[in-house]
Amino acid sequence: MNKLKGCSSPVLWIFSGKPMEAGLHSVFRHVLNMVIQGQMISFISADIPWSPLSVRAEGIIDFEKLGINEGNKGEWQVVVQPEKICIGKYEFRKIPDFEVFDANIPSIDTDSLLMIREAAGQVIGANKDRGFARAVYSDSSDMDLIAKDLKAGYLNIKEALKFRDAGRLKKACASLLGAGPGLTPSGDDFLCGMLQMLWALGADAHGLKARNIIAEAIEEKLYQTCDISKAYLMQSLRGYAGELTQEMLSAANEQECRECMIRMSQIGHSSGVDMLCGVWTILDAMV
Amino acid sequence: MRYFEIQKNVYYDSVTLMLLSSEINKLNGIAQAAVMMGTAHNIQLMTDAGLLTAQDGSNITPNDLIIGMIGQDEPVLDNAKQVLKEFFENKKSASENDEKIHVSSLDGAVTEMPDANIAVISVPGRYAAREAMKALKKNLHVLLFSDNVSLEEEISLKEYAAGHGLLMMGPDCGTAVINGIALGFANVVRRGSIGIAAASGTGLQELTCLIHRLGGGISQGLGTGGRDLKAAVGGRMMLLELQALAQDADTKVIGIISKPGDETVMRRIIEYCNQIAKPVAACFMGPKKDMDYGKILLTDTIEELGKALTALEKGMDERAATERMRQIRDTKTFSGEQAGHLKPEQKYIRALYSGGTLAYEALLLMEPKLKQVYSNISTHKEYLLENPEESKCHTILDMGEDYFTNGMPHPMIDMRLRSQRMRREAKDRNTGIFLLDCVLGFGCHEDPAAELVRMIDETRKENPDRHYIFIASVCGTDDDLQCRISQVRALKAAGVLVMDSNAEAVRLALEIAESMM
Repeated sequence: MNKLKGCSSPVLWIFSGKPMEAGLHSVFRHVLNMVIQGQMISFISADIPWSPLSVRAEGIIDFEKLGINEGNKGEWQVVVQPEKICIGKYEFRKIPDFEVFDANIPSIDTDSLLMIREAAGQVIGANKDRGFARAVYSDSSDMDLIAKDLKAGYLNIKEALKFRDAGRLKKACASLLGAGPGLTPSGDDFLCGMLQMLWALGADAHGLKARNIIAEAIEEKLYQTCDISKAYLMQSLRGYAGELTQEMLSAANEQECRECMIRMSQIGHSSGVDMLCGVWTILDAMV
Repeated sequence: MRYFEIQKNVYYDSVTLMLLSSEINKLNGIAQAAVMMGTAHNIQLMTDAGLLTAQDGSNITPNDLIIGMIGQDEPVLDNAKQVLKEFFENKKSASENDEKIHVSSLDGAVTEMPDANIAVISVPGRYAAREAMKALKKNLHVLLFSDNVSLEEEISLKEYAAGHGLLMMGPDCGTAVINGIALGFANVVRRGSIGIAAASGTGLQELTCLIHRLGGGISQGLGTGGRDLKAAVGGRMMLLELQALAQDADTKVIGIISKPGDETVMRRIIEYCNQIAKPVAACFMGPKKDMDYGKILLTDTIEELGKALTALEKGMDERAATERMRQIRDTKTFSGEQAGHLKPEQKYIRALYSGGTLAYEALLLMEPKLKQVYSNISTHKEYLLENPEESKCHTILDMGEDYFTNGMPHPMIDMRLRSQRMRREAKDRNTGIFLLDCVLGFGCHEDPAAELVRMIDETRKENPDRHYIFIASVCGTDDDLQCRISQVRALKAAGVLVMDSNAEAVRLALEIAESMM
C-alpha cells in the first residue's frame, strides 16, 4: 500500500547515497514537507500535481489520518534510503517503474508564448478580485492597503521592463519579496511566475538579463520570506517548474492552455492567480 | 485598541489563512485585521497600518504566522481572541476527528467506498470523458456535470452505459434527484410517485419545485444532458431512463422535459411511452413537431407540466389533468398600475437569467407576442445577439451560457455579472422591465434574494429619476437551505413583483410590455 511512485528530476540525488535523516518542516493533509540536507522536498499524495522538488506516493495519502500533524511533526523520525523513505513506522518503498518527472523549464517558441499570454490575460481577467490580480486591475482608490502595496511594485516592474531599466527592475522585485497574504506571499508567487517565463524565453530576452537581475535582487534576501515560499523561489531561480506550469508550456492549443491555467488559478487562495500575473507581466512586456 | 498574536513554526494553507482573515474582519467592532506570514515586508506593512509596533516586529520571523487586529474596545478584542482560539482548536480537532473521507481520485474513492454505485463528476471538459468512462467501467452510474465534452465522446459513453444498464447522465447535466437525494444544483422536494426524465437542469429544478409546492412528490428526477435527443446520440439515455421509471415500483406517473429532438429519436420515445401503462406528460419546449403523440399529455410550459403531473399523481384522468393545467392566475391584478410608472420610451424587457431553460421558456413565450426579441440563445439567426454584451430591443439573456461563464463562477453561485449587467441595462433609456430568476437549492448562492435586492437598490440609486419594474420568480421550496418563503418576502419587500413560476413571471412582463406598445 505505501509505495513511492516517483520523484522530480532535481530530487533524484536523495536516493543515490547513504541513508540520510530528514526533518519534518510542515504537514498538510496531502503534502508533507521534509528538509533533507538543507533542501525542502515535498512528499505528495498521488493526485497532487508535481512540484519541482517532490517525491510522490503511489496512492492517496492522508498524512493527518496517519497521525502526522503540525502539532507532533517534531516527534517523527524521517530516514531516506536508496530504495525507500521511512516516516516513523511507515515505510514507502519505490515501485519497480519508478517515475522521474522532468522539472526543467524548456525554451518555448514565439507562437506558444503568444498563446500563453492571451490565455493568461483571459484567466487573470476572470479573477480580477483575487490576489495579485487586484493589483493589476483595480484603481488605487478602490484598493486596500495590501493591494495598493502590491500595485506599487507591479507598476514599477512594468515601467522597468518597458524601459529596460535594470536598476528599477531590481528594486521593484526586491520590494515584492515576502509581500502580501497567503502561506506563500502573493509577491513571491508573482516573482515565481516571472522567473519561470524568463527561463522559457531564454537568457537575454528583450535585451535585458532579467533573470540575473531578479536573482541579484532576491537571492541574498530569501531569508526575508518564509521557508516554503523560499523553496519555490529557489526552484524558479534555478529553472525548475511544477506539473501545471509544464502543461501550460506544452499546451497544444489555446483551449488546453486556458484549461490548464484555470486549474492553476484554483491553487491556494490566490497563489495560482499570483503566478499567472507574473507570467503575463513578462510576456506582455517581452513578446 | 490593538491586539496581535504570533503562531510560531505552524503552517496553515492559504485558504485557511484567508478564511480566518475573513472571519475576523466580519466581527462587529473590528476596524482592521490582517493574518499574514511574518515576512519583513508584511511586518512593515502591518506596522504602517498600526497593527504592529516596531517592538512587536522585532521578535517575528518569516516562518511565523502573525495576526494583528484593531478593535473599538476590549470586549470586541476579547471576542475576536475567542474566535481565533476556536478557529485553531477546530482546525486541530477537525483533522483528529474528521469522519469525512478525503480522496483526490476516482480509484481512491472506490477504494474508500466500495459500495458506492454512482459517481458525480465535475472536472474540466478535456478530462471529463476519460473520468466518466473510468467510472462506468467500475460499474458506477454517472452524473457528469462537466461541459465541453465532444459529441463523439458523449456517444461513446452512452453506448457503453446503455449496453451495461448504467445511467450516464450528461454531459452538462447539473441536476438529479435520486431516491430522494439531490445531486448537483437541486432542491429539497417531497418524495412521491412522479418520476421525471429531463434533458434540462434548471427545467428539472423548476418542475420538481412546482410539483412540491402543488402538493405532489418526486420518486426520481433523472437528467440526460442537453444533447441526448440529437440524432447522433439517439436518445439513448432518455429511453433508458424511461425504462427505469416504467419499471420503478415507486413511480406511478412519468414526466418528460426537453427541447424537441431529432424526429426519429422523438418517434422512438413516443413509441416507447405509448407502450407503458403509466400515464406520461411531457413538455417539449419549442416548435412542436407534427407527430402523433398518442397517450402523452402535451404541455406548453413547465408550469403546465407541473400541474398536469400533480393532477395525474392524485389520480385524476387526462381530461381533468388538462383542465387543471390550463388554469392560470390572472396577472392583471399585478400589471394594473405598473405601466403607468414608466416613461413612454421605457418599453423594453431586459431578462437576465441564470437558468438556461428558464431563459429559453421566456423566449418561447415572448417571441409570438412581441416583435424583436433578441437573445444570446435565440434559434432565429436575425435575433441572435451579435455581441452578447449589447442588448437590443427586448432582450433575454442566458447568463449561464459559456460566453459569460468562461473562467467565472456560474450566475447561480455568483451574482456579480448579473449585477453589472443590470446596472448597464438601466442606463439604456428604453429599459423598463427587468425579468429575473432566483434559483435556490444545493449548489446555489446561500442568499440570492439578498444579492438581487442589493443589485436592484444600486440600480435605483444610480437612476433616481427613473422607475423600473422588477419581476421575478423564485425556483425553490421552503425546505431548501435558502427557504423559499424568506426569499420571496425579501424580494417583495424590495418592491419586486414575485410570481409563482417562470411562465407566470413572463406572462406578467408580457402584459406590461404589451400595454406600453
